[in-house]
Amino acid sequence: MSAPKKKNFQIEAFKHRVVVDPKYAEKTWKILEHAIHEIYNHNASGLSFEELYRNAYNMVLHKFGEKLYSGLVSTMTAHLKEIAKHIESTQGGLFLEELNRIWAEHNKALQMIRDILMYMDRTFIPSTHKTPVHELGLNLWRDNIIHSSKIHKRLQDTLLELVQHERTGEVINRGLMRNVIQMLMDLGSSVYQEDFEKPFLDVSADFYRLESQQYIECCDCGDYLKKAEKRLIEEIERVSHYLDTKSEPKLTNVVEKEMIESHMHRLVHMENSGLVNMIVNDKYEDLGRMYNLFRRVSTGLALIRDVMTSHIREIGKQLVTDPEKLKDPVDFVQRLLDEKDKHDKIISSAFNNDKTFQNALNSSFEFFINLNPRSPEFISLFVDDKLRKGLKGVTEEDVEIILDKVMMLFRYLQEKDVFEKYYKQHLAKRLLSGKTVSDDAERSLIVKLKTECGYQFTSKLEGMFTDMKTSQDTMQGFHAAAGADLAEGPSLTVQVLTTGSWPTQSVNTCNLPSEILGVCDRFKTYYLGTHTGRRLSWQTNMGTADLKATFGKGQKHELNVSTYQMCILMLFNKADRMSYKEIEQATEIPASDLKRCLQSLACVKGKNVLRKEPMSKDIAEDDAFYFNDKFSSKFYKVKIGTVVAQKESEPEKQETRQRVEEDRKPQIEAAIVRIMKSRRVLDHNNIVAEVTKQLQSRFLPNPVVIKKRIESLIEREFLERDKTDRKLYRYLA
Amino acid sequence: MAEESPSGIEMTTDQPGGGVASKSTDSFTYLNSAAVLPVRTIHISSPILAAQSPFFYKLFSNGMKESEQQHVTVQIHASEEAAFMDLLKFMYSNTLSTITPTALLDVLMAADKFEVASCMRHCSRLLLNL
Repeated sequence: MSAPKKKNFQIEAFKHRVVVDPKYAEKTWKILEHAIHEIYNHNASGLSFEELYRNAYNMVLHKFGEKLYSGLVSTMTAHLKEIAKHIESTQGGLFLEELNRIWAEHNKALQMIRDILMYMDRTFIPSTHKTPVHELGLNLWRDNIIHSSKIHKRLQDTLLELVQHERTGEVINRGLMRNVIQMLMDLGSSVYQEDFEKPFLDVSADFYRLESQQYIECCDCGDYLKKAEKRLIEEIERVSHYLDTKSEPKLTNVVEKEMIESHMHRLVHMENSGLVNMIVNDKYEDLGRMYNLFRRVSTGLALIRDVMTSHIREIGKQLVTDPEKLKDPVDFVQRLLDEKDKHDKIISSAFNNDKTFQNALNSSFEFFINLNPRSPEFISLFVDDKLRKGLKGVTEEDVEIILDKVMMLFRYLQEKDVFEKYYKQHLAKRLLSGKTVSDDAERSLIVKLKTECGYQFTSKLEGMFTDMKTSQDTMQGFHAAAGADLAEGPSLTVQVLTTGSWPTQSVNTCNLPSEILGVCDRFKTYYLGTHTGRRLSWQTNMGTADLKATFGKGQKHELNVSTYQMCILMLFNKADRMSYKEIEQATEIPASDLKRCLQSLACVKGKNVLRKEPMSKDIAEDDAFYFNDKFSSKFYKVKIGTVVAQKESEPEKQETRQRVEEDRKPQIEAAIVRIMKSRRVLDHNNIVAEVTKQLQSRFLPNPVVIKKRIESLIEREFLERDKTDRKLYRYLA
Repeated sequence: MAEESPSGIEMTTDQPGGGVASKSTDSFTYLNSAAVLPVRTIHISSPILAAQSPFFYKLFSNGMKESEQQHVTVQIHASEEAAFMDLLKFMYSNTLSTITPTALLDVLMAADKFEVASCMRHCSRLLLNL
């Protein structure tokens, strides 16, 4: 039923839309034109919106859209030309205000015009690809007002002048400024950029170029940075007050370039106030400011970092090479730690904890600590000092802090195996003399070393602790077994040390006094009875003894001495006078040790239980010694230390060095074999590189030494040279 | 067409803040140079119209004469009257009573004139489904 109906369906022509009056368009347009004039003249409230809309609607409907549109363009253009003349004629200061006022009016008028032409805007303009009314109004404003030859330059100059006034400290009308800038932005980003932003940035660059030049001539670095920072903040505020936010990076860029980048080298190196001066004097605030400002410039931080690095290296180099400062190892390490603390604090409080700065600091320390080959020894001595006495009365947390700091220095060491060597020696002395303050602290450090370097590194150290524990048990067993038999005579405490775990030196057993020999033998029998297949030898150079002595006026003292010293003193039970030669013969103590012992027994004031003839500081072969009857001390217990150089003497150092080198050989060989086993064939340079990589956590192997090890391995037929290419090595399974 | 007979529709609307519209003006005379135009007074809610039609929104608010008036006059052609009434009803109820194509077309024209988008869509849909 719908089909036939559709055929009947007929749309009638829009009868009532047909215009008869030939002057219709002209008449209607006149009404609208008049309305536009009225709108510009603030008489809009007398107009009927309905009527105007209807007329505009009808014009478009009756195909007079073109006439309507062109009429609008010419009417508005004429108006704006009038306005332009008015603005041009305004006097000086009022120029901007007038422009702003009229701009606001134009906007309001434009809004109304758009309202009454709404129908055209919606239908006619899109279909004919013309500019919409609002945009048209802005474009006409731009072309007739802003780009009018007499206004364009004046506007630009006025705006730039206002900014200049504000920069020199005057107060300007920011609201007006914001409105006018907003107008430029409304007219399109290209208008803002071309007519304002570009010249503005140029002027700003000139301004800051000049200003920074003045500042740099008369300010020190800190003041200059304060001024630069202030300017930067001002410009950022300026943007937030009245400029386009998109201008901020461009504007700050200008300030950064002129005030920082062009002068940064001069600033950093400024005499008496530059970066180094700030670091030396801990000027955190200035340093922080420098960091934050320089960070804005691409190479700024690298510059600070480089100068800081070379400064730290310089300071560090002085620290580790100044012979004056090497006298006291504990002080030496303390100074390193202080230096590290100082720079850590600077990086954390001024440099934003910047990782790259931390790395630079670390690499600087690594650089100069290894400049001094004795650093490993000194660090170990520092630990020794702390663990012997330095940690008394210090809380556990503080102990941990100190140990952590030591570990940090340890990490910088290239020759970690040298440190291990010394550490073992020092630890052995601490353990055997019972001087360790805190077992927990000792173990804590071992654990730290273990996490840092692995099990292998600490296994021997741990073995030492085990020995100490086992020895205690053994002694309990011995006393229980021997029981009352031991009540008389001297009491004996033995520490059984596993060979290999301890830094044993070549044994020079001295002759023990007969009083001691008996009990020593008893222990030997007991021990070998409980442990079969072992061998005991006495390390008389490592023991200590407590002697009860009665002096001339009957006063009694307990003397705490070394085993060697004990042997010497026991001789004076039978004789009052003994010559050096006699003592040497009776005890068979090695000459250097003997001299040292006698020196500490006879030449130290307040502890001179022996008297020497002739009186002199040094021990000579033909000296004679007497029991010092007149010895007196206000203490009951008198501790007689051996005169030991805390630091190693030159020959000892050489010896240790040699032993370290000796220990390295098997490690290097093991590394070579490991590598060759997996690679089968490799050329010389690659082996050296790989070995170095594998071992660098412990030490830095010398390529020459590696070469020697390779040769030795070839000799022992682990490797062979390739027949054709002599640089290639082959692994022989 | 020869006989152009415009008709005036006066709409008494409840302008927000304008108080209650006077109902006394039952009949209103609109003078057009020579002829006396018929006037029809309708009481209608201005927010509803403004919400659906940019024309009415501007009519009530853009600062010209009508923005201040209690009684706003919209002048339309006599031939548009039925469609205009349908349009007003649609703006209130979202439904159209007319179904004939010619009438629908007239309503569509009216909706387009005052930019009542929902009604334009509605009419177009109905016309397409015919």
